[in-house]
Amino acid sequence: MFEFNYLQAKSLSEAATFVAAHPDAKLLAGGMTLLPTLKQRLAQPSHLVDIGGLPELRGIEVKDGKLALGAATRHHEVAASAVVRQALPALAYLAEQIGDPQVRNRGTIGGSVANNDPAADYPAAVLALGATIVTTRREIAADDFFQGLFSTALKDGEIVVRLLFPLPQRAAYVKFPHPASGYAMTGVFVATTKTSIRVAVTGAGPGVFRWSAAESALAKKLDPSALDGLAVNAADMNEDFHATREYRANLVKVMAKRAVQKLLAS
Amino acid sequence: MSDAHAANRREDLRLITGRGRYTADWSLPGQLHASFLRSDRAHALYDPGSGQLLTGSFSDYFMPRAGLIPDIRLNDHPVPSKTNVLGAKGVGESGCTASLPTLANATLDALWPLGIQHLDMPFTPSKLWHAMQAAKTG
Repeated sequence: MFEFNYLQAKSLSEAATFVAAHPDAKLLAGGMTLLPTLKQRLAQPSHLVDIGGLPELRGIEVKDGKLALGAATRHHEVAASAVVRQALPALAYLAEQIGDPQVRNRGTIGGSVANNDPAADYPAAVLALGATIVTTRREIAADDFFQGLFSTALKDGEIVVRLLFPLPQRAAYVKFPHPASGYAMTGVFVATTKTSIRVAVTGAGPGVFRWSAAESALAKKLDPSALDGLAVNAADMNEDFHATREYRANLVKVMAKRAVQKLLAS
Repeated sequence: MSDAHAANRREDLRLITGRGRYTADWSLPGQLHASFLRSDRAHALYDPGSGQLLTGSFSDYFMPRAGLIPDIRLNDHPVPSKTNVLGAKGVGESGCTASLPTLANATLDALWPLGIQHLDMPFTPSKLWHAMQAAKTG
């Protein structure tokens, strides 16, 4: 680990001031990605600005048909929240599948979404549910937010404050966890509203994506068999020593079918 | 520097307390279970092009965890060796000596109907899937 300065922000505006003053600063919330990155000397921030404890970034509530989660809400809090379990049980289930107990008790939803790890679980829910990412400067639609491998629409110094999830009619998440890390080797989140069905895939490709062919097929017939003739292009998938791109492409279909099955049973 | 004289070493008697124990002398309940668990990798992996270590952390290198081990019952059935007067055998790797061929046999038994008669470890899901696809199309 390289040397850095630690700054604990007392408010969101102070955090924004710190980040503006120090261009090489990094925001620290749960630190579940950032700290291992620092330990492996893969990053050298001048300052860590700790926003993990800010009251402005906390809170779980349902308002105007939307579930609002503060960006510093920890995965375990989402998994255990009576509000989330009642309003959006698929999201509580997803949070329960993230990493391990240590990660779930430290990691935050805002951190996960801002980092946009291609195998993280939350981006699948955010994209499939058409959530809105509220930042210190604006509101960003999920469809515009995720921009591939560790890239988002966030500008320098912009901080994720809250996530707003429109409540779906039904939703389900299924993932095949990576054996070593617990990240999604492939995870599929399916959500239906009165007017649409959305299918988001994480882990398989270089970033979370919507499987539009599956959405069209399921709009005609909401059943796992609707996906029988479909396939994602293996050339667009990730490959590493754990799994080939062809295997991941097959997993997308298998997980999507299971997610639809689960949605129908919900 | 080369010097044939032995170092004039003195032990610090304050550090010799007699409280240490050899780990080889420990036998904890269920300790043998741990030796059945293996990573899916026998060794580190490097990218042949860049030289980059691919198994650089436990998020890539699979570390077996206690929660993954199924219920297994262990029974002792000692049979003295006939190759030496003591009847002694090495049992240093007793866990993996049995578990790896058992897993390999079970895997091949499952794949046998597809005509697959040989497969090398590690049996990752990806490798099994490819073997099954090849058997179906070939």
